[in-house]
Amino acid sequence: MWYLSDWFYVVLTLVVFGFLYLILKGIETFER
Amino acid sequence: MNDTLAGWLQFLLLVAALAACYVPVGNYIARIFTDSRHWRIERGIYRLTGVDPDADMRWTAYVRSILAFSLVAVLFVYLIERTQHWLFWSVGMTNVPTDTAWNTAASFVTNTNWQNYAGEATMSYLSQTAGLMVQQFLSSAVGLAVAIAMIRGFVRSRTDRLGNFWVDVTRGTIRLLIPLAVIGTIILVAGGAIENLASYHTITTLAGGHQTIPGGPVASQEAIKDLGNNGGGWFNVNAAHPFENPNPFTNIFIIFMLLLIPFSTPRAFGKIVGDNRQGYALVAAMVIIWACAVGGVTFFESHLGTAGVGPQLAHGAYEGVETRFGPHGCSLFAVSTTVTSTGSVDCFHDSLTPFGGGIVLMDIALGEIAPGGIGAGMYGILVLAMVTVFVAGLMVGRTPEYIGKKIRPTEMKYAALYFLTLPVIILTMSAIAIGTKWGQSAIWNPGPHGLTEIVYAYASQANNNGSAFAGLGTAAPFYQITGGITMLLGRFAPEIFALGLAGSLARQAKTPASAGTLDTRKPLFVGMLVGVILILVGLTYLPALALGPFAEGLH
Repeated sequence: MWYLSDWFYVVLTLVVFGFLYLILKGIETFER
Repeated sequence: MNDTLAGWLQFLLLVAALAACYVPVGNYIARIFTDSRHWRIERGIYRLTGVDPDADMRWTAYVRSILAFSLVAVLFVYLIERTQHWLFWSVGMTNVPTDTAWNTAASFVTNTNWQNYAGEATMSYLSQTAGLMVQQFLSSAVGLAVAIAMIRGFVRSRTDRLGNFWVDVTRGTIRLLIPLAVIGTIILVAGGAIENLASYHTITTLAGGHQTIPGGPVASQEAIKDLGNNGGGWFNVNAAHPFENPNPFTNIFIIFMLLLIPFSTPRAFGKIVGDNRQGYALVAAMVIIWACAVGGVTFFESHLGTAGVGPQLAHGAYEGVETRFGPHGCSLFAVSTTVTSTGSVDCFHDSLTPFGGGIVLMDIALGEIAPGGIGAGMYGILVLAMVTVFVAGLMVGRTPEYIGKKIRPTEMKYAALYFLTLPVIILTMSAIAIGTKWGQSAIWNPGPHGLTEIVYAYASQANNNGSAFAGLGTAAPFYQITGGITMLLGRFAPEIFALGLAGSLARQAKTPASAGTLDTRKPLFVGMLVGVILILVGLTYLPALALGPFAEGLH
């Protein structure tokens, strides 16, 4: 049984990596 | 033999060993990443994972691969830690609490190895090996891969391709890190470090008490911990533990291992760009900063009159220092672990004198480029070298060039983003910690020392060093979460900017050197580079240093 806090950290990981991906997309847009 | 002479001999022996390895190890690294053939075992891995090893990636694809690889790694390590009690090799450990498990997963995937736990009392053998040790290999290989991709930006022209991330990581792991780690492990075991899968033993002491003796494959983790500039120790006290670092020989050998690849990478750079003198210039700047830091910390830790009355009576700042190594062994280790992104320790940095502690904090704050972490130091100093030629270009009114590539506004924007990212993360996180009750409640030492501990914690995590100043309750959820975010952003955001810069360089055509080109192989450039590093990066942290260690030292 996974605790609620496990899901919190999974979502937090996705949010941080999503933010990094947005930085990459932003630079790609800027480069064009 | 007196302490000072022993300290000098250790330092000179280390310099001689590193100098002897500079050319062969650097040439070998260059050969690994320029070899057109794939080894059979590598081809097997590519087939198994569905990777096309001959596909050349744009810098954006390279970044996407890094992010995807690291995201999966964080979740995988987290899963092992959270289920270790039900898996094999649990040695009686319960599952790791969620906040510690996440912070640790982020820590080892980012090559930081910040540890909010005591390894021997928290982690199962499976977590230590399949989770943490595997990441010690892979995260190091990722850093090296980024450095190699950046070097390709200088070598290639009119292309947007920087190589293949999966091939670079596989080669770095199989051809460099594993063979060196095997050699390192054998030497450490010969020196007395333990290597076993035995259960913990409970013994009865002479006084009649009971003591639990931990075991584990410690030597093998110690080897990659240092070779890969990871720093996460098997035991809570890291390299101050006699099972991990048994004697002065293993102590100097560990310092050698953690400096070996970072100091040899400039040679690989020189070799790949076809001008070895470029590598000598960069390594000279690295050595100057490292040697000055060693001299400074050793002075403050061993010089009478700088450490207070108690340490004076003991002929040095002995509090918190492992007596087997003394202040000299501690100082050399403390500087070497903070100028690289290693973070392993053989003495408590919290126990350093205020100015000694200030220097190691400054080592980290410089962005760890002297010589820096595996790969990370190389791409860090290359960015700063470009900033240096840009500043020089402004002085003489010419378009700056470095290794045949023009440093235009586009490159400078990437460079500015690169070196501004870490100060923004570190100082913002420190301000949040100091300004909120969650951060304040974990400060055990009020005043300037407490400020130093907070700034050190975030500087260490953002720069992926991992050493702790201690004295701060970083096991609190606030520090676990902000620390994890700091490590992930501090690792990958600069890598995005570094690879963007490399992509921009690769798209350029080569520019032949002219009479107005600054010769970046000369001592003048080395001096300018050191100056730019100290002024541009160092001054960013001057207010924090003044209010923390300097205020404490001058009190």
